[in-house]
Amino acid sequence: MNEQEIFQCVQSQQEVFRSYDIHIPQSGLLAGLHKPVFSKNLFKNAFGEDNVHFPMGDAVLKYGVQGVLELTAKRTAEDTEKTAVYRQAVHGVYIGVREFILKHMDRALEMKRERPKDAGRLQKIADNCQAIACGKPRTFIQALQLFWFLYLLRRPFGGGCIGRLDQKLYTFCKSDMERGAWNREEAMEAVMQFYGYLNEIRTGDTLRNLMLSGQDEGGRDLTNELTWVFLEAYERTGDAEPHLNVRLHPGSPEELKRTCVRMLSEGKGQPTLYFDRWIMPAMERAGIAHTDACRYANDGCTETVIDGRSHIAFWQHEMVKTVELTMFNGDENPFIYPVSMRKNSRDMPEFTPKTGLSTGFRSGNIESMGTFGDFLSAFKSQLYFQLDRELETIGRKIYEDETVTVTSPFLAGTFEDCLLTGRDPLRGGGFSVYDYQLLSGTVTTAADSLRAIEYCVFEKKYCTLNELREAMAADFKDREPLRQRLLHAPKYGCGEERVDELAAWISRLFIDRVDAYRTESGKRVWPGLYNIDFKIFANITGATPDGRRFRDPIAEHCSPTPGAAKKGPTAIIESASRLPMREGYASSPLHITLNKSDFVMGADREGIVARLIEACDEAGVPVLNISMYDAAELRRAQQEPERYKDLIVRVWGFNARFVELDEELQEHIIRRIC
Amino acid sequence: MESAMIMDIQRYSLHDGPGIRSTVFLKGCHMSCLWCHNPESQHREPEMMYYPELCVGCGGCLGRCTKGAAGEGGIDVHICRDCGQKRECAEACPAEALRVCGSRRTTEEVLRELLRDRSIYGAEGGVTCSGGEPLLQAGFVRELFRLCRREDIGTCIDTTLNVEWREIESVLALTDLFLVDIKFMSEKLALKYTGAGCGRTLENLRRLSELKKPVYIRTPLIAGVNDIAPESAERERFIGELENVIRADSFYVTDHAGKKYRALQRENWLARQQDKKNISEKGDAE
Ligand code: SF4
Ligand code: SF4
Repeated sequence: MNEQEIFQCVQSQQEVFRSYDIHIPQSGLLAGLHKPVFSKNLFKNAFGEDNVHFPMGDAVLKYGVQGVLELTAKRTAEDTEKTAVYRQAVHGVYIGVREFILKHMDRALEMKRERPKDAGRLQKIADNCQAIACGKPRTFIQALQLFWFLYLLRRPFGGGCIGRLDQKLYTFCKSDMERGAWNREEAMEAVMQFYGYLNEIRTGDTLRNLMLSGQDEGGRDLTNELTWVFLEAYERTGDAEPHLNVRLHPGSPEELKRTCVRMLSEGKGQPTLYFDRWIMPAMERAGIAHTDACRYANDGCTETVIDGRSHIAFWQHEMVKTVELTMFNGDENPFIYPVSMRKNSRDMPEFTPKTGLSTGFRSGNIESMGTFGDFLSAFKSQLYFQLDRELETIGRKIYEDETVTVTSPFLAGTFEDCLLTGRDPLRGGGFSVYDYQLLSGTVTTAADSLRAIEYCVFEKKYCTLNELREAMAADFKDREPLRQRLLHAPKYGCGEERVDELAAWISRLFIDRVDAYRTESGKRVWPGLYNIDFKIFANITGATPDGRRFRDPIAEHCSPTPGAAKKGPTAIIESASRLPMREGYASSPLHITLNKSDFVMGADREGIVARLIEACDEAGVPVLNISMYDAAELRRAQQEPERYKDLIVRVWGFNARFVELDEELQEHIIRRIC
Repeated sequence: MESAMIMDIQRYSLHDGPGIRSTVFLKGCHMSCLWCHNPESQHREPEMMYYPELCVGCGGCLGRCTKGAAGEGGIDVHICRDCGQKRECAEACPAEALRVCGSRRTTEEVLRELLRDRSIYGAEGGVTCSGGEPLLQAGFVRELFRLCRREDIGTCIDTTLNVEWREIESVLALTDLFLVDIKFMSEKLALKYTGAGCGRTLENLRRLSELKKPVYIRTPLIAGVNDIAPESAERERFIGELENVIRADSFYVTDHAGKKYRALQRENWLARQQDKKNISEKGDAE
């Protein structure tokens, strides 16, 4: 962007701010709420680069809007042409921010005149607005109010990552306590109002992840009063938003673990648990400083970010499709036809996905493969070819970010380094950690496919490789007996050593290849055994050797293919323990979906959930989500959505109301139950 | 080394004692409760099961069978009963519509399976031997539990207690918890519904109580038979006199095992009761 474009951006950003509703609630203290506005062009023009998948910086909380304006008001002696212009842009945007907040103050005062009975509350709102617009936040409520305004302003669709809010806002809570002014009930109500607004705006894939607790640089636990407030507020409200996450480590208080168990036993898949002892060391092995690793949070989904020090960009590798390309020597399964689908929610627009892999790489003709080893070598070369291309793409993006990308000045203003230096966060102004990720979940369905080839073609000789390929090309039409053989071959998630070993082998190939990559400037790409687009993959990957037909579900993350885990959750944990999950520090989650109707006849639900959590931690699972549904109940909800509006389920990195998901995802979730 | 006829090993069992458990189902039972929800556990010998809903009609079995069990309408598993080819036939079926239930396994083999969840049982959970009647193969249970003890895994046995006291005694010291059904208090009803009397069960329960051995009591209820006086009152009094009961549950028997009865081609008493009831209700309505 040149100077002129930057100022155009500032202008449109201010314009967008002006178009938002001014909202003073009928009760409670938290002001600000507007309906989501969707417009692709508007985003581009007004906001510059910001995918809202990572938390904002904390500088505005620290300096207040006024402080930001002061820091950016004048060109400094160290400024270059570029930094001076950028500084000015930030300044311009924050004038709009101040205006937006002051409008709320004005409205509150106006309402106060009309409603003398409610004067006390309305005056408080006005005071809070004035304090954060013209000075620094002094109290918890003011800090939460400021955070909420910024959150609303960041993106007009009301979504985006929240980050470690119990840490960000704790200094304010602490100072309230020190002054004897901490009012827990008032704080609780404000937090519940914050949650209520989120749910009112929109639910589902909203990227609203709130990360709680963790540890400091000395390994001391960071659970604080706000951690409890945020958890309790969720227990009191219990809706889909926000998406809760808790970091656990050996020093976590027992009470925190018990609270997580109690909440998870409700069956809503909240919170997701992150185990510091697996995630942080892997980050540090990859060269991320300990002080940074301590600050990790999750992004809009489950991928890791360094709160206040990184942004995030990620790409996904199609692992099961890689098996297909190996089988067809670089081509797609000819059976595939374009499928029009929705990403997750019923009210999203339809689109027709295509593979992101490159066809045409000849990894070997299956006619010449005499052993299973031959097939594995071909798979490996196909995989490396695809990964190298993907890494190159990421490398190009990194180069662009190192040189020309312009970060949204609004976002930049939340980073202290930017305010002090006038630099873009991407180039010295805040993102001191570069977070570019290549992710591949679905290693498990890929492993099922490889094992089925080994078992059915090379061990049991039910068919030849050629016959298998023909059957796949026919989507198993008229090949049902063969498909049955493939379906009954051993599957990941049942504690079968060999197929788990293959899943681990694929994961290793992937992680090592990604780990070994460096950009010209020496930057790394973070590997993760994770994927959000498993539903897209299912619609672009033809029949697979595990007996799956075109469009049948594909596994997510490190979880078994839906329907494959026939031996229950402990067998899933056994299988998962064989994967190098903890090396995939960009995120390698395990989802376990329990059957709610199992908990009868005195089965101690919380005790069992607690055991499973401990077992996963011991097995090296870095990120764990446990949810609990009753298949019959989900079926009824499909029939009568009106009656089941409050049924919350876990999808990938988010929770949603079951009845709002599109049918394919609903089916996927029902088949996950083990 | 002991071995036993094993029907199945189920991981993550939540209803066979406290916590998360692995349950070893031993095949063979000397009772014949009409509502049995594990009908495949009753006979000691391996049995062929045929699931018509899984059959894809490939004809694989037709080509193999020389005994006339396989026909257009499926498999007559009664003919398979004494045939030595069961495993080969099951292997020939691609859809696992034909399955052999039961295989002889040693304590060592079984322990290997149980150790998979070693770290998950915790202090609460552990291993349960169930069946069938596990104490019909008490030697196996004893050796298996001894191995479990060595691994510090909790042990529990789900038994009718309708066996000689010495069989119970042989596993007593190695068993942490007994799960016992009290089905009937009256000998006559017991004979009618379970094919065996109940006196020995009640007597053995008393002895366990004297020894303060912990038990969970469970009562399968059949509407109009043992959920009414005098059965219910006597049962309550009996349980009240015991000093070792940690918990007591009762539940109405339901037709959970319909598929398995069909696969064994055996009569399903519960389903028949249900049908009768439906017919009479329909009659009432009309
Ligand atoms: S087990 Fe024997 S009787 Fe049964 S189908 Fe096979 S060959 Fe026929
Ligand atoms: S072999 Fe199995 S699938 Fe084929 S006809 Fe026989 S029972 Fe059915």
